[in-house]
Amino acid sequence: MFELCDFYNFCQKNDIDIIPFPNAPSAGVTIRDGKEYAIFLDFAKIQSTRLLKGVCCHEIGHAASGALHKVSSPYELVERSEYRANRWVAQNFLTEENFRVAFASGYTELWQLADYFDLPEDVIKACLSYWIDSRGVKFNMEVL
Amino acid sequence: MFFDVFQSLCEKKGVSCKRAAEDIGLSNSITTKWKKTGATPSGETLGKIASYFNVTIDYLLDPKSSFGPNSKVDTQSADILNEVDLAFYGDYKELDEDDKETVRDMVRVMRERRLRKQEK
Repeated sequence: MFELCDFYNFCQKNDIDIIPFPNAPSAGVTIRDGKEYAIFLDFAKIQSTRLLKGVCCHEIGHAASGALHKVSSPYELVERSEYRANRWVAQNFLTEENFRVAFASGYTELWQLADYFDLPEDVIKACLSYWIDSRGVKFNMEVL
Repeated sequence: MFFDVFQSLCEKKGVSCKRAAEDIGLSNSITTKWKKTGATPSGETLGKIASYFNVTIDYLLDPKSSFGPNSKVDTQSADILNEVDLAFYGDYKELDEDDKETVRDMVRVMRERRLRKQEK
């Protein structure tokens, strides 16, 4: 389960700057300059704590896995970076065990899982897709 | 003096003189030597420095040369966007020119913060 303190602890431990930046191209941007990382957050685009948590956990997925790309990288490479970031999030914060517990507790719809994990639905979807489609895990539940 | 050119390039790149020397593979004391004695490094070192800052050796020796970091030719090759890797939250979208300029600003902010941290 992901909490905002995980994000702050990770950034502190790895000396990653967290920089609020209005009018950024996206709600969250991770930049690597040489060996240094910084995560930019545009709070004007983040309207809820749930979305903030989603942005933060996704961005540390990029920073922790080193999955970033050049500005001119082709779409395939960008998507591969996204996949690697999502995989890191799934393996560390939305594990197979976490999902099993959620399902066993009766949370089976996407919106219910979003409530349970307090994360945006697209983050849940990406992690669930990793476990089901990439890892072949069978939860024996009807979801999505 | 060579040190002034070196220092100005460091400021433009957003790194300290010490950090730049380390990145280039030179000793920390060399920049102090340039500053105190007004010395100019040898050909091989000049080549490394020119490569690091993406300028010509001529520019290092003669800053009025047209191949410095502010020249049109060099601005394209030394675009700071090409020096960084990045990732965005949300669906893929191609950055337009305004977005690219914003990202350049973000990199500058990041480098300024690093520079201030190093100086503390």
